[in-house]
Amino acid sequence: MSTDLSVPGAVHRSRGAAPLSLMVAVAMLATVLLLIVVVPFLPGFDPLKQNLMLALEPPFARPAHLLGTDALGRDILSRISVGVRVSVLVAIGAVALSLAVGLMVGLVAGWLRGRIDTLLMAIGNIQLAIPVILLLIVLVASLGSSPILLVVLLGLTNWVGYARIVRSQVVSLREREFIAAATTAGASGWWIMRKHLLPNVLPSVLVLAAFDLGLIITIESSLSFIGLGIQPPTPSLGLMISEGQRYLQTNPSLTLFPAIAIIFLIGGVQFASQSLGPRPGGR
Amino acid sequence: MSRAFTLTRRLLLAVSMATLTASLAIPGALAQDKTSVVAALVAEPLSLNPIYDTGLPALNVFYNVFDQLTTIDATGKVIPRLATEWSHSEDLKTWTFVLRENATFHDGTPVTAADVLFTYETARGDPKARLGNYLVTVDTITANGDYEVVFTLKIPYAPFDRQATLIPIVSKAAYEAMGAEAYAKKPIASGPYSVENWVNGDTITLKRYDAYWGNPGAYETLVFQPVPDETTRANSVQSGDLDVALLGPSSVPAVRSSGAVNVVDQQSNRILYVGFNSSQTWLANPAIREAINLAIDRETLGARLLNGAVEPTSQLVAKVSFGFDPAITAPTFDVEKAKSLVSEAGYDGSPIPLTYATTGLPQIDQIAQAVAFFLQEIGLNVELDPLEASTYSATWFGGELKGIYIGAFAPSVMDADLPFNMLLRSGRQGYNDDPEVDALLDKQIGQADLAARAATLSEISMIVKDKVYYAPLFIDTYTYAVAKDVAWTPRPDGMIVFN
Repeated sequence: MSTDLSVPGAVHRSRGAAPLSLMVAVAMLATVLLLIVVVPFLPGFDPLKQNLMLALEPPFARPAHLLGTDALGRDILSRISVGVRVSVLVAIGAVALSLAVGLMVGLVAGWLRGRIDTLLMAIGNIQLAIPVILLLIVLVASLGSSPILLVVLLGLTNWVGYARIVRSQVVSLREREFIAAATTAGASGWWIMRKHLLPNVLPSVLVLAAFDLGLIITIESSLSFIGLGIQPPTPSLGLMISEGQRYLQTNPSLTLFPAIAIIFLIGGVQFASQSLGPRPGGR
Repeated sequence: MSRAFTLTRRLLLAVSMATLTASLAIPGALAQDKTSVVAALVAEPLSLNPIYDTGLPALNVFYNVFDQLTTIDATGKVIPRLATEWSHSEDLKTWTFVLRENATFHDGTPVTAADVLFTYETARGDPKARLGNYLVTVDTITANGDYEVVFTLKIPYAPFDRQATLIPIVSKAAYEAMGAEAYAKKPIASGPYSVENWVNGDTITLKRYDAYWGNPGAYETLVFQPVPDETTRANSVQSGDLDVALLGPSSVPAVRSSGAVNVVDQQSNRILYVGFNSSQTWLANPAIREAINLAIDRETLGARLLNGAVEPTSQLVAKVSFGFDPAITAPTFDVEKAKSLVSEAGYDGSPIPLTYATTGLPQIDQIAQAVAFFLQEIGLNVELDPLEASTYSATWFGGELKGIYIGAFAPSVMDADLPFNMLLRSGRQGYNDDPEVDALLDKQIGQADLAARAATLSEISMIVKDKVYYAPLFIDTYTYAVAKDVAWTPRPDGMIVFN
């Protein structure tokens, strides 16, 4: 984002841009946090309670249903709160899993090199060659859908990026003097990986992980939108948008509010990772 | 894809431009000046050869392009079409149809008994011919001269004249000359419209057949366009790209309030029902099934999710179908009684799945969630089990649904025999083996007297209601958006026909 430093005045602007994006990130994530933490304690909180007589209430009409109700008379604010929670948990779980797998593969491949490296990277390339969403649709359609399965599938289809970054860093780190010193001192490969390599590669993969959170939330919402993600009656943002889509002409708020929640969630994470990530030419 | 899309746009543009010029030329001119209508299909037909495609999208085309021996009117009565009159023997096993002599195919040749014979025999002769499935009761078919056909059946079959409404008569000469494959693209038949052109993935264009013997086609050109997405249908009909389109229940209020088109309701031949696998521990108990029947608030469900257009029912056939008994009333909603039935039955809270197909029925996901909620309210631990539509129907056909399920039945022949046999006969798709019902099913099919047969079917409906073999929900209604300058009457079977 801030690579075009050659433009006059860009240095000045980019210096001011960091705090602004940080402020935006904090504002967005604070809203999301409020939704997840505070909304469940509101008196009218119940994401599953139906009341057909109160179906499709407009937003801001009743204090009990601040954002209105859906076609089955369920409280939209409560459903968004749970939907955001589900999305965040699925995303964190999936990213943690792909991070773990990616780190392991990258460390082993970069440290050992040779045939194991070739094999692991070949597997990674094969994985990359398959379109992720398509693969997920096939897997979810054949295996069925549950939140745990989603976490596992999303995690296991997304580890290659981490493995590649870690591997390339390890390949250059292992030639450095401090590693050579550790090897000479008789340290085992496992010990060096844990004590020297991991701390050095962690910062860059964590930045990637922050970006991936947004990506995973998008994929999960897309899967739910086409009916393959989180299953009803559990609310999910993608599912809410898909259910609300048919009422777009008469009750746009059914789609609008979950969409705004997605924007806040992904936007907040992206802005945060941008402003907290390494500065250009960093470490 | 993109080529098809451009073609669609161009064609629609041409059609709307034509309409525009027409209305500019003569201000205030209406229906008479419109020569072309565009009607939406919910899916594209697989083939236009009626012997191999019996799907509902294709039936829309067949009812405009083909004649059948008989047809069903708006009230559900069988009336003459190619056959002017028909009679059956005392034992209902020999049926004689007399054909009209003034019917001609689109190539000008007369329709004769040979064509009828050819159609029925081709359908029966090829195991791949899906039309043959309707003719399993037929034993022999003979032509008696050019204008009389005699069917002998293996069993007495009272609704055979209804069954004949499903068999479009093909031209023997044209079919043999063209071959089945070419015929499937541009069939020659004897209906009020002929097929002008079928652009695969896009439109099917029909032209009025001016020498038609009966009510002539209402418009010079009739275009069928597959538009599967209900939101797109609603938008296109409001913008004028479509003239007739089936609406999804959620689009109805918006389209109605826009005032751009007429919105018409037609009660259909389709019923929605809740079924039970009564071999499941708790569903085997009639008290639990009765509790479920009482716990569903059909009125509110219909009013809130289906625009109040549906009619609550306790029968497995719609009003328009033969066998519906107006004396059997819809169940009354009674949560308190349902709750006490559940607690008296000693239900232990074990989970009961509620299976439904995620596509194919209007608002089905929401109806399923609402039904599940009603049942949870009376203390049943119901778990939603959404299945992809083809998996659902395979599971239903195989009789492997695990608990409660939601389904629909819309018999094209509008007769209770087919749904009752599939849903209730021992060993078929239902889960209640009842010899009494089997005996009544055997009895009604051989009853020549309509009133007596209706009484037998009504007896079956009473048993279903008393023993709660099913909890029928609604008689469904089809709601259409129709352009203001188009004159069209909807049909209970949902087919779009213009004559």
